[in-house]
Amino acid sequence: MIGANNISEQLIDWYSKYNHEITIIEKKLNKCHEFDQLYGPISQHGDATDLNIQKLSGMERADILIATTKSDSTNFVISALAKSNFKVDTIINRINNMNYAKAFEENGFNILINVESNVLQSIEQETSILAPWSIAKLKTNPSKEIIGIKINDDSNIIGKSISEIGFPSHSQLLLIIRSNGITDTPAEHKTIHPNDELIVLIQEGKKESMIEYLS
Amino acid sequence: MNNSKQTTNQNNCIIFGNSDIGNFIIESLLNSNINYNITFLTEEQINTKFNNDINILFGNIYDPKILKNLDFSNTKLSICCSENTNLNILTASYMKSLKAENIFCCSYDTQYNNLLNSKNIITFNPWNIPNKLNSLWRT
Repeated sequence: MIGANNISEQLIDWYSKYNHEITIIEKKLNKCHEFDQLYGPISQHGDATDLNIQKLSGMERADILIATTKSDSTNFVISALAKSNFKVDTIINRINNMNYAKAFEENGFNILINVESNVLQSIEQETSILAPWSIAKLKTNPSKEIIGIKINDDSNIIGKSISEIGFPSHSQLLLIIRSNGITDTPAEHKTIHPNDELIVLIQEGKKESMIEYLS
Repeated sequence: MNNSKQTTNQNNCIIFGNSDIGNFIIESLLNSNINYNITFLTEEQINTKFNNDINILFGNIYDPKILKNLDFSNTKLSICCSENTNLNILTASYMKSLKAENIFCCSYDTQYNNLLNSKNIITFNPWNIPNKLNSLWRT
């Protein structure tokens, strides 16, 4: 992981439960000392954009690299060095400006975390009447996505059973979350009520047609 | 303007970032016997002797939006030569994703010299300009 910060602290707590070896590369010496005191010898002091520092950190043994600095160009260079010199399999990048996403993806850095998108997603979910929110994108062929949709009071599908609704062929209803929070496994006879949340598997790019279908 | 200069619509160049090496390249291209049409992207107001011979686009060079509307398909040469090596590397890769060809990326650190080879982007150091680049003004 690059940078001793709140994100890495949370990740150390999580990964160490599963006995993973973790190394943090951090520029500030006092931060390294702080993390070493908290978690044992875990820090490599130095600049992660320096190949020698990556070597010293044991990058050749890394299965996953997580670059979460606030600079897109720093994250990109760190990732490119680790990939080309140490063949790191999985690289996770924090990306601040999503316009750069294509450049990251075309270099094989497919896992991009954008704080702004995550905030927007949470807002969408909280205000989700017929505005579907994305739950997960699946690496399938063709690409699929799991989305959540909250059913509006005046939706045409209210009162209809799932067999009557007949979901489009590119989609599959996975779960119904009732307005009281109880989860309900979909079955042909079950009916849709106002404010139900539907968790649906769809082909990527079919979100809009799904909204039309359920409105 | 020298009328004997060769002019084609394929002589468009995009120079990204203000630096000594960028200024040197611009001047060399302008002094060559080819009529290059240079677009220069910079964050700072600059006042150079070739201000009237190039198109200057001011903007935030840390935001790729500045590049989005440029026509890379009709560009002969793109050079990232700000003073920030990391930014040059990311921007050169971003230009590639916009289908730019013949991209050069300036690095002030030799450890990155082969970093973008697989993407067909030539990384060079300001003290060692590759032949493929300086041949553009030495012909």
